[in-house]
Formats: sequence, C-alpha cells, structure tokens
Amino acid sequence: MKEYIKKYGVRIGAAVIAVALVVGLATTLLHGRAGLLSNISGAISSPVGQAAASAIEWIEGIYGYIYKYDQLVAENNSLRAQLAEAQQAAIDASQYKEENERLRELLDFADKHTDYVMESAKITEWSSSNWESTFRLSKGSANATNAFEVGDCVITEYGALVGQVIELGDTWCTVRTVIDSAIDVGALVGEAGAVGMCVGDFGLMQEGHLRLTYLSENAQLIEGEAVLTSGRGSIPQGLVIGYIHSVLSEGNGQTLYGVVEPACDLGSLTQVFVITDFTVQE
Amino acid sequence: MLLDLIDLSKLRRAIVYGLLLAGVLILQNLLVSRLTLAGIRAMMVPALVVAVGLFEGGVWGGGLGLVAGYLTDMSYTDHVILFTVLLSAIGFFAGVLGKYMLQKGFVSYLAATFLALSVIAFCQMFPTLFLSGDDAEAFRRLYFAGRYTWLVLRTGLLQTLWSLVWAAPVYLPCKLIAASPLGH
Repeated sequence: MKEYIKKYGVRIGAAVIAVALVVGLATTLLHGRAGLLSNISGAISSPVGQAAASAIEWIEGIYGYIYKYDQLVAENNSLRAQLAEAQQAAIDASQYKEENERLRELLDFADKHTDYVMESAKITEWSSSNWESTFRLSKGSANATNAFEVGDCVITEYGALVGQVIELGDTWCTVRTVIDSAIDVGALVGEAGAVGMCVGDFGLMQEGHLRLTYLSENAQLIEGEAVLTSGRGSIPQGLVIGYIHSVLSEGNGQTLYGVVEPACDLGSLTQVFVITDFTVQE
Repeated sequence: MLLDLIDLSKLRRAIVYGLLLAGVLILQNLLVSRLTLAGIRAMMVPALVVAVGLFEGGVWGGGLGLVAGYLTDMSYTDHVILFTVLLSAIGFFAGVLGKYMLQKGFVSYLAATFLALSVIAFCQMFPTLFLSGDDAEAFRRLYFAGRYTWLVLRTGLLQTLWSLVWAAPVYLPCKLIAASPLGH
C-alpha cells in the first residue's frame, strides 16, 4: 500500500498542485472575469440550464393543474377579494403619492439619483451549494446591450436590491444575493438616515434574512423601517434593501443590530434588472 | 500511425466516465438541487468520484476527481480551488482503499462515500466557523457553541446525510462500466 501511494500518489499530487496553482493564479489575475474554460463551461451549461428550467416549469405547471385544482379555485376567490381591495386602494392613491413625495424629499432621494441605465436578464439557475446564495443570469459581457461589469447591482422591477454581479462571462454572469453570507452593502436607515452596513450572516441566510450592523452612534432602529442603500461603491443610493424585521443585541449586550428582511422575494424571482450605469447628482 | 500512440481502450473508458460525469453534474445542478431536505441540497459528484476510485483504482479516481473538482469549483463562488484539491484526493484515496482494504460492495461504497462527504462538509464549514468575522467572533462561535455554530454543523450534517441518499443511484452505472469489456 505504501509503495502504491508513493508511486501514484506523488504523480497525482503533483498534477493537482500544478492545476491548483494555475487555477488560483488565474482567478487572482482575472479579478472576477471568467477564464477561458469557465467561459466555455458557462456557455455550454447556460442554454442547457435555460432549457431544463423551462422544462421543469412546464412539468411543474402540469403537476399544479392536475393536483392543485382545488387550491387554484380557492386562490381565485382570494384574488377576487384582493382585487376589490386594490380597486379601493387605487382611489386613495393620490394621498399616498403626496406622502411619497414628502418621504423622497426627506431622504434627499430626488436630489441624489437620476435615471438608471438598466438591462433585463433572466435567471437560468441557482447555485446548488448550501453555503452561498447566488444565481446565474442569461446575459454577460458580450450579449448584453449595455455591458455588464463586476460589481453592478441587480434590482427587481420595483427597485428592490437583489444582489451584485460577482463573476462575469461572455454570455452569463453570477449574482450574489443580498442574503449571501459574503455580501456587504452600505446602508441608510431611519428618518435621520443613520449610516450602517448590511452584511451577510450564515445563520440569518438560512432564514432568508441579513444583518444590519456597524451603525453610527445614536442610531435608532425601529421594526418595519425601510433600509436603503447608501451609495457606497457601485450601488446607487436609495435602493430598498429591505425592512427591519427585529432588533437584537450583540453578544456583548451593548450594541444593537437589526435583522433585515429583504424587500424582494428571492424564491419567486425569474427576471431581474442590472444597473449598468447611473448618475449621482450631489 | 497516430492511433498507435493512443490507448483506445483507455480513451473509450475516459469518454464514458466523462459523459457520466456530465450527466451527474446536470442531474445534480438542475434536478437534485430542487429537491431539498430542510432546505439543504444534496451533492452527487463526490459519490461518483468515490465509485470510480473504488472500481478503477487511485489514478482514475484522482484524475476524474481533478476534472470533477475543477467543474464544481467553477459553479460555486465561495471556493476557488477547494474541490479541485479535495475531490482528486478523495478519488485517489478511494482507489487506495479499494485496492488494499475495502470490498467493492455497496455497503463499502456507502461507507467510503459517507467519509468523503463528511470531509467535504468539514472543509466547507471551516471558513464559516473559523475564518468569518474577526478572531474574537470566531472564538465565541466555536467555544460557546451557540446557535450560529449549531446552524453550521446542522447544515454540514444534513448535507452529508442527504447526499448519501443520492449516492445510491450512482453505484450501479459505475459498477456496470467497470465490469463491462469496455476499456479493459
């Protein structure tokens, strides 16, 4: 056995070390850009993933039709009731609009941000790892109308922050979601706009939440308050990250942190928008 | 003349295992990942690497592990070369165990796969447990065995056990390929 390990183990080990060094060096030098083999692999797997996702959606649709008919009937009745409520809410829209204008002025939102240059993309597959929350989009640096870059932020159609582009291929890109344990986004919270950081937490990631921490002194955290992006890095200011779900104290008992529930429903996302350019007006 | 330089039987075998690897990867990423146990997804690739190592020897196991590990690292973003190193080592040592210690039966295969999955889970847990946050925070997480540590350990344990269930269907194709005249 020792001879076998000596004879073949050294060769296998040398090959592994060589490949690992090359891969590690290439990854470091590429700074988020995908290498040649990654690009080829992604280009091959991306259409397969899209086809498989469509097939699975179709199968799930048939399953839902056959076995969830009663649920669909109940849901239809519920939706009729909701529609009636929504029609009433539309009548009150003018009041909400005025309140919204006051909140925007309060947050200095209108002065800080203008129009965004956005590119839509479909989600092709979610990562199968249990230790991260990432997904792939159907567009990359070559097939998008407006070129993507590593660090571009991703939002829903309602302006809720979904995540950030962390890896870029020619026809695909990888997005790290707001609940991933490696995320960190500058945040503003409260009427006074207290500064903090929304960071990922593995424990909270399992629950679909993230942590609001590193708050400025005298910051007041109130449950239900909106948490917005602060404009740090390549993420525009004023995007809704989520809402404070609960306020807890750190292990030392002296500082508080907030548990934030994302504004977007990650489980139901199929199409998102990448902000490729934006203008900040001071 | 060029064909005389190539061992066609080994080439055929490599192609067959390559296709099997591609099929397992597609199955893992597109179907198995949607079937979760308490929110945890299973992995099938380590089981394939163990099976090939067990039936074909350390060199084949290490070689397939190298390719499978590189492809796995490409699809995950939290590790750069972890699976490249890990799966090739697992494949090689599965071959060593198969040659000198283990029978090539289903139970031995499951035992070896369980060991491999445990090692993988530990290596994935390690950065989360020991390296995230500052040193004081890591210390607190580990030694006070709080809720955070329990969540990490729970994820690793469930991943290992759920992946073991999906290791079962990988055994038979590998055994059939190894037993067939293809490449031997």
